[in-house]
Amino acid sequence: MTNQPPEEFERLRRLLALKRHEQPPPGYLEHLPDRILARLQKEEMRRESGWWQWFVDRFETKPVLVCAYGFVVSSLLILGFRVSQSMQNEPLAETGAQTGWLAASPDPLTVMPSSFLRSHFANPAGLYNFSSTEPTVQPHYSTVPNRWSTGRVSYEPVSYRE
Amino acid sequence: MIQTAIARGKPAEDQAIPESDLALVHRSRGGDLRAYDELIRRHQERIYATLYHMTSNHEDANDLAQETFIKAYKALESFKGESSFFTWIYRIGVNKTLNFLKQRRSRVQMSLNDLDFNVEHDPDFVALICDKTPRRAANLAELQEKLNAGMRKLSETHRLVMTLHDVQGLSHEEIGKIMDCNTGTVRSRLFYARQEMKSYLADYLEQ
Repeated sequence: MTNQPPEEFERLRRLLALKRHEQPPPGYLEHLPDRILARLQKEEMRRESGWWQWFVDRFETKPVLVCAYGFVVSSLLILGFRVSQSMQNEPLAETGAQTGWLAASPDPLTVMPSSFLRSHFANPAGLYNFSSTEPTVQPHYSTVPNRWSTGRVSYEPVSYRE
Repeated sequence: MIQTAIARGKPAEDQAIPESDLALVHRSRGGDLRAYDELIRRHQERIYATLYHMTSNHEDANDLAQETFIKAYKALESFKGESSFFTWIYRIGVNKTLNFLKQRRSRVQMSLNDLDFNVEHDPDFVALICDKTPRRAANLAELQEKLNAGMRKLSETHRLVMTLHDVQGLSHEEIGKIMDCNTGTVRSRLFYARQEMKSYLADYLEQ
């Protein structure tokens, strides 16, 4: 099979010799080592610069990664939000309370004001309708002694003579 | 003339003895990029030419040649010196190219290099075009394209054997080391590759 006379392929061999004359653009081989070494040095610097630089460089070289990363992060955020919503809705659904986006916010009509609010505001429930133009806060005298008020502070005469 | 005479009369010990590939590899392992630069310059022409003849595309050959030398630099620690550096790096380049061709089998775009001015004085080629063939007057560019198109019709392994033997002029033994097979396999592949190529280029090869 392979012991055919070499003359059979002699003309083909001569024809293929034409390919030896296909030469790269002038100067290409002179600059090839510089390009290779520049790439090696760049990779070396990238390796030394830490994971964050590596991460950013990956984005530069592969823009598709940016889209993929953005998609994954957005999906995780939406998923997390949905999960937290469903977890909060479960107890409210049992009591027939409202569901949806406002389910997480407290109802001001049912929530008891704190002791601080009760002691400082005359009508704490009125805070529900509180606005800057119609304040519902009642004037209140504080039990804390006011240093500028003379009514509740007693003075004792002081003598510097012995 | 005087300068030439002086240069010729220089004692042999003054002339720089080229460092061996192995010594350059040792220096490169230690991070000496100048040594690796020398290694690239020694082998780039043959590596590039092989990759170019395999792909028939200058841009692809350029990318593959760069990646071959970069991969080789990173893998220098694994070079044991059992084969020559040339064979070792050739193997890296060939494997890279075969993988590349498998992945991009559908892409058939050629980007051929220009022929140099010496082609018309090449004795092999002159002998061919001086024979009385029907295509004697075929222009060179057409013939070049036909040759490359024919090469691309071969399977990757047949194309590689033909490139290394008939274009690059490597021996069967060297090809066997590069392709990690015995010389019998190399001869067999070469035979089938030539048969296929011969039928494709029949117009140019008729007596």
